[in-house]
Amino acid sequence: MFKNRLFQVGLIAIAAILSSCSDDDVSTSIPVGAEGFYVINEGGFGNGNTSISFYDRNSDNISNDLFLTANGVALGDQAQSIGVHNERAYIVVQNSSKIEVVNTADFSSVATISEEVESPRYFLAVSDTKGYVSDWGADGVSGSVRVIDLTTNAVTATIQTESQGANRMLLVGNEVFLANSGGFGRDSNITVINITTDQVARTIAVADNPDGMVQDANGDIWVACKGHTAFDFQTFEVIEEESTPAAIIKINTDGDVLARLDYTAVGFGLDASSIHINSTGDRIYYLYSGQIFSMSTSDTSLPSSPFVNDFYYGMSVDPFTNNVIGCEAPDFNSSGNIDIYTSAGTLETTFSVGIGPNGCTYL
Amino acid sequence: MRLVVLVTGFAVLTGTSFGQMDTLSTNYLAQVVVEDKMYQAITGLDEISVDSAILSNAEGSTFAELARRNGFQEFRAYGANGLALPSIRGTGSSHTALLWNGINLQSPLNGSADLSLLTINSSDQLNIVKGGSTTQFGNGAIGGAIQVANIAEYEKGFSLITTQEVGSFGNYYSKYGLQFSTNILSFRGAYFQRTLENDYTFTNLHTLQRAQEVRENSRLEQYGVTGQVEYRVSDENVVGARLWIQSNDFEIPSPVFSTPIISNQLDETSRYMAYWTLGKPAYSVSLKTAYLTHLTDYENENTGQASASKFQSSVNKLEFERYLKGENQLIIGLNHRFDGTNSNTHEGSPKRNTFSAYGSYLLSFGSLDIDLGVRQEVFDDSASPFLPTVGAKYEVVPSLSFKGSASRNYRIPTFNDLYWNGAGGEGNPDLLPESSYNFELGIVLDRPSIFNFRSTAYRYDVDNWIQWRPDEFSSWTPDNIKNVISKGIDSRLEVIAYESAELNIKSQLSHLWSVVTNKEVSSLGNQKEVGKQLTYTPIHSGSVVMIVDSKMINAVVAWNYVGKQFTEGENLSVRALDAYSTLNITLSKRIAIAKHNISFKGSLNNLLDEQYENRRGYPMYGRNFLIGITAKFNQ
Repeated sequence: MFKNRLFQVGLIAIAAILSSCSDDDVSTSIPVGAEGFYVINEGGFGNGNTSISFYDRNSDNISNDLFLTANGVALGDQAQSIGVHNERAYIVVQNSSKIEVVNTADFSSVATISEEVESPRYFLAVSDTKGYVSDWGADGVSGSVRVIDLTTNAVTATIQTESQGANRMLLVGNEVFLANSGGFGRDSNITVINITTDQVARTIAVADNPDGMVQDANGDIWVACKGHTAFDFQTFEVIEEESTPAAIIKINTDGDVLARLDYTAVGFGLDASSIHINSTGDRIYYLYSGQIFSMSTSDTSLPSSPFVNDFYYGMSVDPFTNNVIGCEAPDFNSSGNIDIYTSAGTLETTFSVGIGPNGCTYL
Repeated sequence: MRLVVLVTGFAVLTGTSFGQMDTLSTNYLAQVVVEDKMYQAITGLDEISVDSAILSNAEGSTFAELARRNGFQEFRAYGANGLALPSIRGTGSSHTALLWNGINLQSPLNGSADLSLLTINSSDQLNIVKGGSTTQFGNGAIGGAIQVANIAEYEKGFSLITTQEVGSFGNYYSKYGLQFSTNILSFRGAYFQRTLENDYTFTNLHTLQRAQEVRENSRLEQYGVTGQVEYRVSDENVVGARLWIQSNDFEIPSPVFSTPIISNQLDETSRYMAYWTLGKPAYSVSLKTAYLTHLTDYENENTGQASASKFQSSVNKLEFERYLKGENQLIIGLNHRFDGTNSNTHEGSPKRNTFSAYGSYLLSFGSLDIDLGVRQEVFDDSASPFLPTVGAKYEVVPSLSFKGSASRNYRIPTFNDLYWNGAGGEGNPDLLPESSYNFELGIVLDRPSIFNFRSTAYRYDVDNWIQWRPDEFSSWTPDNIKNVISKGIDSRLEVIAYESAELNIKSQLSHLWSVVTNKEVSSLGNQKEVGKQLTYTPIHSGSVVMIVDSKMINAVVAWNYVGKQFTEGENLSVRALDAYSTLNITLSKRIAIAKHNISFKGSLNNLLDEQYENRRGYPMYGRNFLIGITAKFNQ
């Protein structure tokens, strides 16, 4: 005889338990037309949880997960940067080998650039119709710059740099200065590209693994170089004699070295990166060993103490307020924070953002 | 680059093929006792026994595939051909002992056993044991243990056996075996091989277009040899030996949202053991010795990055069982294990000796059974804490009983945790061992031929949980980051809908409510994770299985459910994995021709073509099939 009743009770009980499991997400609003800056959250490598946050300067509010909220799909794996041009944001998603083009008004998807892109790092618009994307290459050491037609959102050409780890770019007049940060290898050059011909104009030797550059009020270019850490793959011991320290270097646009400020210590993490400058072009900020340092462009020596006494994964300087933004990543499994400091170093506010924030881009 | 730190249906083919029913458990215990005496002497255990019928019908499958098709919630698979690890009641992969005939196969390198690489054909019995009392099996069994056992048959003569299977996505499996036994000698051996192309269509949930794509780069080639010989010196005196040699060459796919990386891994394992058992009316003694090796060779074709690691372990185990007045028993055991590794990723080729002494006393007072257990482990330069267990089972009336246990559990850091020195990270020689206090209380309602219901509430408090994290220099290193509480209710109901000599129909329902949260997070971790559910740990999971067992055909219909899984420590829902369910149907038919048996089987899995993931970016199979035939000659 069938034990219908008992069986049915069991089914109902299980179904009731199981149906009570779901819960709803809380959407974040898209700050249409707001003034502020984007925060790039790298996410955990291979976890596909990279995201973009937006700080609204007027309402003093943060909105997280813009891309997913606007488009209903996660952004991808490890966004490195965003470039903004003509009401379009170009999100460079390195480990998804793509650039997502979105409308800055509502963050809706405009296009996805994935053809002829391998390991993209940064986007820079060099004209109204042309953009550059630096690319480490599939092996992480074949540096190149992809030329993007901003009207079709397609790669139209590739500029081979003959250097490793094409990274941050700076537009100076009719030229783009490209820091060859080494990628998974090692390099010590800046490649200068003529944006009219899309050809390499010259190469400038600096220190090992230049990460990025800013131009000061005098027109000179400050370069943060990470240095190089050589180590024994068996023992993991640092080989000091083959390592080079981090450095801050000032060059002119012709490539002449005007000042070179070297750190002395070598080792894992003792690198200088993420260089930024204030709105008046007379004070630079950078990360060294995870701490924010600041120095005047007239200083002749490196700062002895950090700007604030905390550790960050990335940093930025708001060109509209001169506030300094520290990007904190306690781990790569949960959300990080941004700390907003005044130019005097006073902590104004802290916001929870996405996982692994590494920097900001301004509207 | 950061270090890449590298799982539903329940389909069974006979009416007595699966269950936690007391009847099956009792039968099973009688066989398992030879393999692991400690198992018999623990009353507080909660177990799932999978008998030989299930296992033989899953012949060419891996444990991960068996779990996926048969709804075991105790396994997590991370992709169709990806990593598959045990996870009992929400504990981690290194918190479950994997016992092959009583020998622990947990890797000394990472504490886990990749179940996607272990084949069913290498076992006659599979038992999933849950609960803290499994601490009696040794270091690492915080959540439970998975037991794999081989049984020797006698007086069967000479027979040949072959199995051929073909399934979706280029899945081909062949096995050729022979058996020979007299009244005193039992021998069997088999060779098996499997190729799986594993190119399958899936819906990419990570694209705006929800595009239909083909999953590639997850090919598997597998072959191996199993063997066992056992000799009855006398009715009381048995000696034997076993071997299990296997090679797995497979591609490791990338997440679908990431730039494809072509990487390959070769795993070569050799497992040998010899044993002697003396069974007297008043006592029994067993002695086992085993030698295990595991070579792993990994290569990333994109970057050229390669790593090779090899470990070898030797295990010697002596157990004495004394049958006392009434049903009282005393079991005493000694165990020595040596683990050594030789690789380019472990500084100093670390080695470790582990000496263990353990004992259990089972007292029976009629309707009340109590077991008291102790275990002490000593390592080269340290020792475990004293590890006591107490368990009890009280039968109020024949149809109602209660049981419970309390234990202290322990896990020492693995060689990777301590000595890893390779790509992306570095071990931490200063790690503290994980330790836990486990408590559970259960009820059993049993009306034979009508229903069986059991439900266990549990709570495990695990201190010094080890977690790898990136340090300030983006190099990954492990630390004792968390104190974790795992609590929940593990329930199972079986209803016999119809029972006769011609036809059996029954239904099995299971449900696990599992809340595994971070009680504390050290200053090294992310405080936002305090009080949050661990990632990839569903709060709810369950299955509903209908089994029809007739003379004509056996049929199993299984519906499995896995609840939402958070993928981020802060438990944001935006990138959580959606709950999913799968429906699987399996049919089998056995034909006897003279002294020969031929079995046909066929299964349709994920019948509703659910598109789901168990790890972000690793899509699982959609609708798929498997058909097979097993012929046993002269049996």
